[in-house]
Amino acid sequence: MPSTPPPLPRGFGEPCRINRLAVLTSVFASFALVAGIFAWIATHPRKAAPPPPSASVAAIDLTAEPLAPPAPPQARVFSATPAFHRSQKRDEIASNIPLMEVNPPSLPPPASPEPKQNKDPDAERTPPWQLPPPSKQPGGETYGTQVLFLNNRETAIDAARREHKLLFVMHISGNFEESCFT
Amino acid sequence: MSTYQKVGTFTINGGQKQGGNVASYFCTPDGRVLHAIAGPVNADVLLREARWVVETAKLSALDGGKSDARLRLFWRKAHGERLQHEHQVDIAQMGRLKRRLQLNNQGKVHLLLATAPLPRLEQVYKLVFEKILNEKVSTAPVVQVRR
Repeated sequence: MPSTPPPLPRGFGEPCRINRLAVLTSVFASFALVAGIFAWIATHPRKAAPPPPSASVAAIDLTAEPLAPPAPPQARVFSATPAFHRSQKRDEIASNIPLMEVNPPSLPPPASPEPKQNKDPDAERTPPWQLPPPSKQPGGETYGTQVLFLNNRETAIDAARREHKLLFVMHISGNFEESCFT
Repeated sequence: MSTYQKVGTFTINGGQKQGGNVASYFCTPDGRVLHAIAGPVNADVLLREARWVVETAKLSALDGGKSDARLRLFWRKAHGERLQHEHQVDIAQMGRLKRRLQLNNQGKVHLLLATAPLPRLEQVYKLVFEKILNEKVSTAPVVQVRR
């Protein structure tokens, strides 16, 4: 007599109802998240936090002073010794450089059309821009004004040409020297 | 640079000056007249004209360069503009004018230098002294008349 298997409990043997697509999606998302975190860590290395100022001072003081043997343990004493940050040698050199303002060399005097004559040998050795400007001012008078009137027109033309200035010529009638009649 | 030259004379009659005049020229170092002032003017006018010449000369050096024709054209325009603005005379229409121009001495100077820009001093000083200032160019000394 054929025996019939006992009926399976309810829900046993039924097809799995897990949504594989959702599982796979969540797995991929978690992998992507982990990979992203690793990538961020790789691209943003952790910056070392600057040591506290007291640490740097201590380090500098240690290097500056010879090492002393460890002192025996004493009672805790709070000493108020000011610790100064020593600037680096490069900064000291840079801050101690004297400020030197050098004036640009003066322009050379305009070349005179006069032919070369007997010149002082010292004058030839000095650079032309250090030579004093020609101090020979042609003779003239101001006649109570602030304008220097040269007596000779040719001299005035030469001076104007030499100094690249315009020429002011007054044509008068009578005596220019007598102010009451000009 | 400044200089002076006696080109005329005058008469002293009873301690009073009769006649005589003055003409001032602003020239290049080679003697070409950029501007002129005919007759006596006060210090402000002289300074104003001197400044105009200096600034215009700078501009002409920038605009005209070394070309003589361009320099002449520049100064012709400069004097023409002043003639038009200050004396209401358009130099471009000078040939069509039917009336006689009534210009003061300074207007005549502008007209002269707009018509013939950058002349040499020896070319215009007689014209200025005799035709504009109505003086006579003379080398004679000052005449003193005693009563």
